[in-house]
Amino acid sequence: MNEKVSEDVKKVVTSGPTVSGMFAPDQENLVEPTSKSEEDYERCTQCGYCRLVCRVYNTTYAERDYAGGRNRILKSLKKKEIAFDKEKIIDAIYQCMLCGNCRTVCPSGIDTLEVFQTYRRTAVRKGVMPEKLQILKNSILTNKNPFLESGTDRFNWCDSQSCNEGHKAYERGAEHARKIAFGELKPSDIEEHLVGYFVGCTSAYRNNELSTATSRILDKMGVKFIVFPDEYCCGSVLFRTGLEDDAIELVHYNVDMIRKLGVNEIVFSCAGCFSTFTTEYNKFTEGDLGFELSHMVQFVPKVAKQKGLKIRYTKRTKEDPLIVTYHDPCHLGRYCNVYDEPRELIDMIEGVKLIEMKHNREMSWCCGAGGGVRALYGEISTDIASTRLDETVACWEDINEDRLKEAIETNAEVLVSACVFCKNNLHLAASQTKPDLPVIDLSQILEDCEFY
Amino acid sequence: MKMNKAKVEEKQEIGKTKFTKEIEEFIPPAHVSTDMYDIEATSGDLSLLSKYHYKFKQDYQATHVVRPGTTEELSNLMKKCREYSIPMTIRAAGSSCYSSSTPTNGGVIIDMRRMDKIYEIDANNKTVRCGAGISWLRLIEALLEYGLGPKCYPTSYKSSCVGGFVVTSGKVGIGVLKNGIMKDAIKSVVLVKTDGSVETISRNSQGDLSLDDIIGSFGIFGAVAEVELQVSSLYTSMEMIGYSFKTFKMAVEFFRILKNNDTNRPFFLSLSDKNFEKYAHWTFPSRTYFVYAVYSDDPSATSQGVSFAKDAALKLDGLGIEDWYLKEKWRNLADTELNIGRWCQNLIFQEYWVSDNRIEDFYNFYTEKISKQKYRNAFYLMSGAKGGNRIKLFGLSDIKNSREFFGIKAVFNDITINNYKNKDNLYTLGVVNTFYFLKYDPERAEYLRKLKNKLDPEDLVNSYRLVKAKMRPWRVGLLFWIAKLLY
Repeated sequence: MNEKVSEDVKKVVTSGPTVSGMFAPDQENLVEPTSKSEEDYERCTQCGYCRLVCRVYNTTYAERDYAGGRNRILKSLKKKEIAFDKEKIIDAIYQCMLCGNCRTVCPSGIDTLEVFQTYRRTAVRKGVMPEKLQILKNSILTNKNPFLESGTDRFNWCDSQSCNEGHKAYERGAEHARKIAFGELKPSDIEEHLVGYFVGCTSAYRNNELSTATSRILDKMGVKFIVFPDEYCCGSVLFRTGLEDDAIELVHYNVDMIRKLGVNEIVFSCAGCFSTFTTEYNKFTEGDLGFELSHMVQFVPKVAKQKGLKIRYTKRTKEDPLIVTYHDPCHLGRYCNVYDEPRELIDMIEGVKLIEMKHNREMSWCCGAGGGVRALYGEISTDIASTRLDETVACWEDINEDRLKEAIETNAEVLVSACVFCKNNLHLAASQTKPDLPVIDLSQILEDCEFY
Repeated sequence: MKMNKAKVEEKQEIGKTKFTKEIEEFIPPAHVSTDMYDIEATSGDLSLLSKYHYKFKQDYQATHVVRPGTTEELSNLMKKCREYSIPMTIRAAGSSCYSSSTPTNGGVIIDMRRMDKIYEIDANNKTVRCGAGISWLRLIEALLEYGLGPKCYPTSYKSSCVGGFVVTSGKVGIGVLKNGIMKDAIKSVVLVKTDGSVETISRNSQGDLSLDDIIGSFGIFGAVAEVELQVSSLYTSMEMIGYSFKTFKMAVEFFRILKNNDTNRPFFLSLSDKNFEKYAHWTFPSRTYFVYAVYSDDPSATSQGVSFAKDAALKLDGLGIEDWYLKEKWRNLADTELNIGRWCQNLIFQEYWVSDNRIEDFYNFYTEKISKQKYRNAFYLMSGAKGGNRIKLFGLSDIKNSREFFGIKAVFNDITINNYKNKDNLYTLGVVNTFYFLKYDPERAEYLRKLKNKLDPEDLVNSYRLVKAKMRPWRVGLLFWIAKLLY
């Protein structure tokens, strides 16, 4: 195609079905479904839209593994047309990341996430329990983390040597909690806007680079935050795997603990904890948590604007920016509708430039880690992550082509995300298939920024 | 000596295991499934009815789902099934209706979705060769890179597969009025016949089967493994028009004028009633009947087509529809029929093939029927190539109200019979409505039956489609007679 024709074609094809892609049914002129319930699967018309976007299906090709197929199974189970076998049904239930892309494209407006979480919950109540899940559950209930680690080691990451900013926040948090406990301070007497950092199990026990980076960023921005010495697991993994009954205690514990301290705003570096607080905790407190919730990708640009701070990436320049592509975590994007803020944040950083992958925002591909798939089906999880990396590479190839045209020297680029699970899974896949591909968290870029 | 039941089952189990092991020698074990939940999920299509027609016939349920990835794997699989006399049901996206993808005789479900590769795109000759299991959307995306697009494709392109459109006739969809139907676009297909032999069939083939036999055959002669298609350059301009009319007569007249304008044929053309537009898009800002056309060509031809349509609309007192509505309708064309599912718990529909000159008669008969049995309904006509159209009638039913459900089905039954009596037919045939075809088009049925007997004497592949039905017209008639009484 010559360039003129190519441009004309682009105008045509972006306006309609000729090649308009698997866009979401985002019609403004579309009525809400007449009913929505946990048994929404009844309304599934088996149209198959969800099959095309399902990363598991596109790896296994098994009809059992995507939303429409699962809905069919649910209908048959309800009518007792097939037996409920608590061993054999495990894969049909758990081979799903609960990424929510099926919900985005469903023309019937079925809340597939609600349906499948309910499915898992019901199955667990009927005795379904994969062995690995039992271990996770036991660890969370006993140690308050899923990693079989001691609860007392939760803040080992922030000793004064390895992360002084975190250490100070821990000491402030401990002192604040002591004063409250001994009646020296009442939550109502706190005048400042008190910010608490909810670290989460993975950043605390496995990915200290995130908790460290987060603490340093907050410190650099002049935010006098605290961490919670008595923090427990948020229960995300329990909610996602059907163990909600066991998670309720954690919800009440964490909410009470935070409320008692009079904290006004909680900051998260973990997208999983953030989405669990935003969706599940809000549900159990009837939308009245009593404190605000912000993920770092929301908090940083907000505070930067309030304080009039500019952000500069110290390792590169405006003229020679680090080119990044952003992977939308399901827990931030489809779960909590956080799409603009991370892009706005990257845009604010001098020395960093964002290029989008083909599948982004509502239609972003899942990394493959969610919904217990990483823990229960590691191989599938890695295969799914690899397809996301392929897309990243494809995106970079386009970038490089453009850059060559502009005669700009090629620099290394990175894949960034804002979720520790995405980072870990994509990083694992990269180490196996694309070792030259850096996969990092956005906070790790911010750690190397100056705020001025 | 007769074996007892337990022994028979034991022997069957050993046979199944042996068969499984043998096919796992040439198909990766991950794609040979005996998981009952996988089988259940792979045993249906858009309609829910299939299993109920076979509910009391225990052996309808398949024992395996097998997903071949290449023509060779598919061929070996079908040979092995034939060796063991195991029934086969061929399916892909299951986006057709009336149980086309449903097992009826047990055996193996052959899921074609792994055969989703594009083997060659020849930009100079404008052809593409691909696996039959590729979805239209993926094919369209791949062709775009070369500035090409399919000549025609179904409105279900977001989910349906190329092979499915071939074997279910492909007479209606996007592009057909302008560029011809699927049959015109096919250069050749690679067919794995019921005995597992592989044959490339093109227009000049002299074998047992012609391309015409395969198109619209619903897979009874084997599995289409690969398809070679003629494609076209993408058009460089696109415009939409939409006019509403007070009477059906005026709307149809306008529709026919646009359809018969050989100089500038629309890329897409439809006629719907207000109910359809409201259910599909919520707000419909105009009169009772709506004609919608999309013109796509080079800028000059597009502009001429639009001018022609505007002049014709003016003469027929058509009321122009706002631009935002026309654009949204085009952007979401694939979703419009599905969106109706938001209004009810149980969407029922029937698709008819109606000739150009019978549209009004069909509509009059339909309105007479629904005036007696009131239910929430919608009417949608999509133009095929010259001569025929697909009319889809919708009934919005409450899942808990079985009297309403059967009442609507009874209306559809009356319309189907009337349609056949007037030399038209059903658009999609599947397991549950083949009996209409057998009763009302016996000559064609006999031709297909002879061919089927010759190629598949054991009737192993896609049984109970086109040439055989378990349902009897008198029983269906009785059921619907009672349904009408109760409704």
